[in-house]
Parts: sequence; C-alpha cells; structure tokens
Amino acid sequence: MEYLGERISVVASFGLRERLRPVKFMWSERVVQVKDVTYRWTEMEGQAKVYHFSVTDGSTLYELSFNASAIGWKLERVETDV
Amino acid sequence: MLVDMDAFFASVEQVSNPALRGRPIAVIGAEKRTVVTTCSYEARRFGVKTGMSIHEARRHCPGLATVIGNNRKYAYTCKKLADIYHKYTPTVEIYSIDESFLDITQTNHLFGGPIGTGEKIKADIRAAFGLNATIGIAHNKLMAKLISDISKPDGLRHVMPEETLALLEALPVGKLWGIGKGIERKLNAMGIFTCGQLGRAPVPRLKGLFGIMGERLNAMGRGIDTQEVTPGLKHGVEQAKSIGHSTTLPRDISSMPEIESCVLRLSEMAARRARKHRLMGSVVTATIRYKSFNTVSRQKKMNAHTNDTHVVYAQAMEIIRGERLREPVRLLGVSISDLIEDAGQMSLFGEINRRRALVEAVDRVNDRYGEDTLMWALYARHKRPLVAISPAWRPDGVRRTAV
Repeated sequence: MEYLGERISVVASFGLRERLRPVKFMWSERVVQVKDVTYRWTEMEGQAKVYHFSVTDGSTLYELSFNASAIGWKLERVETDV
Repeated sequence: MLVDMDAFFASVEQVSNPALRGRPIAVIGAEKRTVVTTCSYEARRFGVKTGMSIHEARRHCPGLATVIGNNRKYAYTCKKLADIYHKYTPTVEIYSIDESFLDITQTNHLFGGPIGTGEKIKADIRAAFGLNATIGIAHNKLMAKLISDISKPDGLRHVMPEETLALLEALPVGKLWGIGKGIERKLNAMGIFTCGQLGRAPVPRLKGLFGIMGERLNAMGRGIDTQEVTPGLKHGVEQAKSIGHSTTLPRDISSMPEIESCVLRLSEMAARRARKHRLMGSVVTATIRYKSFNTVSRQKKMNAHTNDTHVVYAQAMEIIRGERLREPVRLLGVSISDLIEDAGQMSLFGEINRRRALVEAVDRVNDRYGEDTLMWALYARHKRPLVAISPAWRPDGVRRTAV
C-alpha cells in the first residue's frame, strides 16, 4: 500500500453498536463511498487514541485514521496494485 | 485449552483486503529485503514457509502476493483476543502473539462444557475479526498444544485423558511441543521414532543421553505435563532477561555515520523500554549481520547498571568499532541484559543526575505527544526502523514492544 498521510474530509456515523464508521470521504476532488469496513484497530500516538479503518469502495482498498484528540481524519494509505 | 490463530498475520491481511482472500500471500517485514514472516494456507500448499527469502518463496509460488506486515494491527488484535478469552476464564496465558492457553477447568460448565466453550470462543473471534482459530482441549498444556497442532486449520477437538496413549502411540516424536529437530534426530538414532516408543523407553537410557531432561522426555511420550497455565502478566510477575531491538536495514550500509545513527536509534528504543518498566542492565550486546548473512554478536559488561540511552549507545558502538567490518552490514541489533529494578538511586555526580533528568523529560514529552516528538539529532534524518514483531510480543509487560 502506498503511504499518503493526507488530511481529508469524512462523513462518518456514530452509532450504538458500531460506535464509529466512515461513510464517505473526499479525495482528489471526488467523493469515495465506503462500501465495506473490512478491518479496524486502534493505536496510541502519545496520549491520543487513533482509530484506523481498512475500507473499500468495491474496487480500491484505503486505510483511514481518525485522531480522537485532534478530531481529524487522514487518508493514510491506498492500495495501488489490488 | 490452546487457542491458536490460523496463519495469524496473513489471515488479518486477507480479512482487511478482500482482493487477497483465497490467494497465496506472504507477510513480510519490509519490502524486498526481509524474509517471509508468515503466509496464508494457500501459499503453504505451494511449499512457502516462514523464514524463506522472498526470492525463494516466489520460486515455489510464482503468483505469491506479498504484504508488508502492520505490527500495530496485529498487536491490537492480540490484545482484543485476550479480552474475548477473559470472558470465559480469568486464567489466560498469552503464550505468543497468536497462541494463548486458557484454563477452563472451573468455568467450562457455564458455557456448555469444553467443546461448547471452544465453539463460543471461535464464534466470538469470527464475529469480531472474521478470523479462524484452531482450539485444542485436553487435561494439560502439552496435549492441548499437540491437539491444536494436528487439528489445524479451523479445528476444534477435545481429547480425554483416557484417549491420550492411543493418540500418541503412532505419532512421530517431532510432533510433541518442545522436541525440535536436534532432539528428534538423537531419539531417532536411539531407535525411538514414535511417542509410544518414547513413553516406553527406559528413563536411565534417556537420562544417559539427555541428562535430567530424559525423565521429562519419557513423561512427554506418555502425554504427561505438569506445567500450569500462568497468566503471569496480569499479576506483574513476568521478568524479561533482556530488552533489545534489531532491524534489517533498508539497504546494506558500510559508512560509520549511518551505522552510528542506526545504533543510537536502537539503543534509544531498548533503553526507553527499560526505563518504562523501571529496569536497568549492566550488559550491552551488539549484533551485526553482514550482507552474506554471517552474524556476529558481542557483549560488553559495564561497571554499573544503566538505562541511559547514551551509555548503552557508547557501549554498543565500542563493540562495533572493535569489530573489523568485513563487508556491508545488513542488520544491526542492540540489547541490554543482566537486568535489575531501577530504584531511582541518585548519583553522587551532578552530571549523571542532569542527564537522567534530561532523558526523563524527553520521555515525558514522547509519552504525551507520541514517539519521536523529541529525538536525538544524530538520528533525526533517518526514519524509525521497521522492527519485526516478535512471536514473544505480549499485550502487557516488558515484552510489549512499541510496534
């Protein structure tokens, strides 16, 4: 996967069962609709909790992250050779 | 009960990336230069094995897809798996990043018996992560491990004590947990090929060749094991013998400034982990692996115990400078051992106290804002090395390395 680390705008839902789920995001002036969240994990960056999501739009795999301390989303990586 | 995650890292990657599902894949440490950390069952069918170079693995399986491992994802999953196990028993021993022993003696009746407990754990793991685990259930750890090993993948089997001898009778000795290739060869040379033969072998004969271990080998042949499931970490009793890090470099290097930079980085990682767990060591070990894979490891004993990055670095560099570097270096490693508890003893010398205060201040900043927020200038121009996650990684305690 190619590393990007770009800050992006994300529409996400906060639910009861699935507490946080990215729904769609803006990248390269287009809207990417999240079809499936395939994996999720968290890690600590200092005292900040960062939520990571592997997501697909049906054809490409993306890794998004949400920093709960900075309240910001990033597109961490994108799979270029699926 | 032993819960063993099937092809753990590879399965996590296949779940994460739907395009990899059903395909032969290998998880590697870093692009091009490391070996196969683990591979999917599809790749194993082609003969791909852990430890193979990528080149060799591709020779066995030309269609092999490689994925650079994401240690943080595996570490997180391991920790969450432990939470699942704790729903079924408080006695959980995280044996390695993908294997855990659970003592369900007192709790299995609450979940439908041993098989019912196993089914529920497998279902929980599948629901949470989409991963498969193999579970072996028996009256001791040796047998649980054996049953798990022979039930892979996605297996669940319970063997009763009275079934043990029949199961072991024709099983090759090498299948037993703790019998490696060397011991197996020696046993074979004695005419012992199966566990049944090992269990019937006279103990004095085994002791003659293996010393005190002979008695244990004989017991193993009969499926006897007295090791308890020891949660250890939860009670804080785990004590590491050494703390260290090594890294395969992105390319072979020969220049001393580059080596110094990498050794300082590794010294900081080892010393910081020691400080975090209030430990100090008096022996520094430096490891160099050359381009040809020849590996040299040397130790240096210091007069006093330390967890100061620069003291560890100075000792490691003294070892490395004392070695005549014969060829470009592929891997470097630094570790500290002979560990004791750091009681926070003040030094009589002001300089040492000032340096200690500086290191503690740097640690506090990095604890709060993340690793490398403050770093030593010598390694600022180099990226943090990709450190392979060890099978000995644990979700808590000294063996919880930063990944």
